[in-house]
Amino acid sequence: MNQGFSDQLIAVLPRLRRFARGLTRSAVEADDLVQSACERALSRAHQFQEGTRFDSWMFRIVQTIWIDQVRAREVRKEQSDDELELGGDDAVRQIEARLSLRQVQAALQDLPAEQRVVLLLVTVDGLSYKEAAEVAEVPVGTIMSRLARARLALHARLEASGTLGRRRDDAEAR
Amino acid sequence: MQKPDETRLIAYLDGELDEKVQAEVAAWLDHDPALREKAASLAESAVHLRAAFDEVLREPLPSRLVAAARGVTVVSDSKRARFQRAQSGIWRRRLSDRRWLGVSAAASIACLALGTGLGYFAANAPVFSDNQPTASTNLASTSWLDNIAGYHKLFVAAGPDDTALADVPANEAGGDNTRKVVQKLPPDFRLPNLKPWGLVFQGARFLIIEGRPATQLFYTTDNQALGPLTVVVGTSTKPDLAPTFDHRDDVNLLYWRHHGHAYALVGTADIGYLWNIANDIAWQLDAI
Repeated sequence: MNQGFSDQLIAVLPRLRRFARGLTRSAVEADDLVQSACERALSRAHQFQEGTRFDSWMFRIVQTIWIDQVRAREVRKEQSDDELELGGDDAVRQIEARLSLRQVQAALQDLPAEQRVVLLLVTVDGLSYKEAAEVAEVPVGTIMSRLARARLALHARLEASGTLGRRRDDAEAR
Repeated sequence: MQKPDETRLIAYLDGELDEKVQAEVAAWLDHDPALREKAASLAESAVHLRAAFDEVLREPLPSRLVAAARGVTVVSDSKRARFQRAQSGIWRRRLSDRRWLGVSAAASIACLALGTGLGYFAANAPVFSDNQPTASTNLASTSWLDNIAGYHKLFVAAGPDDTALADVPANEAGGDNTRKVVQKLPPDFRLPNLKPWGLVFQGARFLIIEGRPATQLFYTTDNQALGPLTVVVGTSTKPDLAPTFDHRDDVNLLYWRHHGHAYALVGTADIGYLWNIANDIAWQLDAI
């Protein structure tokens, strides 16, 4: 096996885990997803084109596997959606009590899958619109519109929960 | 230009507009307080989102993922836990076994003498060019990796209270010695802040690696899963090298070169820990 390939893979693991954590609903599920992506990448290492971005290629693999899993487990997905709905209400109540990173994550989980992907790629990981479009395999214009909807929806949730502006208020209070 | 819609405003915040449109949106923001407030609020929500996931980057990588990336059969968590407990026990027993310390110290000193000798030989020899054959690079790497691994074990065996092994202990009667260490570091390098990892700086040693000056920084921690750690930084004339793992006599090493600097981490910590600390150092120093 190519040592350099594995080294690249290990180097990008933290970012893949972060991406997967945003896609899935638990750390274990996220790591399972990343592990599957590693195995698939190694089995298809010959398909990676030198000179292209390795991280984008890996993001695409993670996303593809995740979509496959979601499609293959429709029943489970419905159950999760139910749980998510309950979790969302609970999260809103908690947000009213205190600011928490978990609540921001919960707000993200309430967004449609394709919006979540774009938010994670662009806003969290810092990919350009063009790079995100390559990963998601959609036009740049689609990325722009999905991202705008996602940002506005997330913003509305955080604003409604009182999360936004809290830092400024805290700073002013100090 | 019409008042920018929300899609364009977000693209502006993301730096995705061309210069002309960027300037037009900026002009609107200058004259429209409501739009400015909206932009600030959107930017703040993005900050919250990033913060919610940044912690993942600092988590130790699970061994099973590192193993999967290496194409190795993945060991179950329970088996791994048993292995780590056994390793930890061996390490503790070795540290408490004075006979082992003697053997280890002798071996490390021999290794150190060899490494230092090669290092000083290299210092007087012509500096390797970038197209030096790989074999020479590997040979050089072997000697200095043995050197720093040996010294790391000596330092661990002696304990942080024994300041004789460090050229500059972290603290002396005169106060904090950190400044002395910083003065010896490459001018464009600063001491990484590893306090978030629970690592406490204990001292530094100066050495020659591949013919160039380098500094070996020693850290200890109460975190038994992480254990004592050595960070090595030096200058290098060699081409960049991707982070590379090695394992020598109970010690894990992760080393890389970037933009004229050579780096190495040495410790008994799990490979995942080393990767995450390397990432953290790289983030702090923009090294990788």
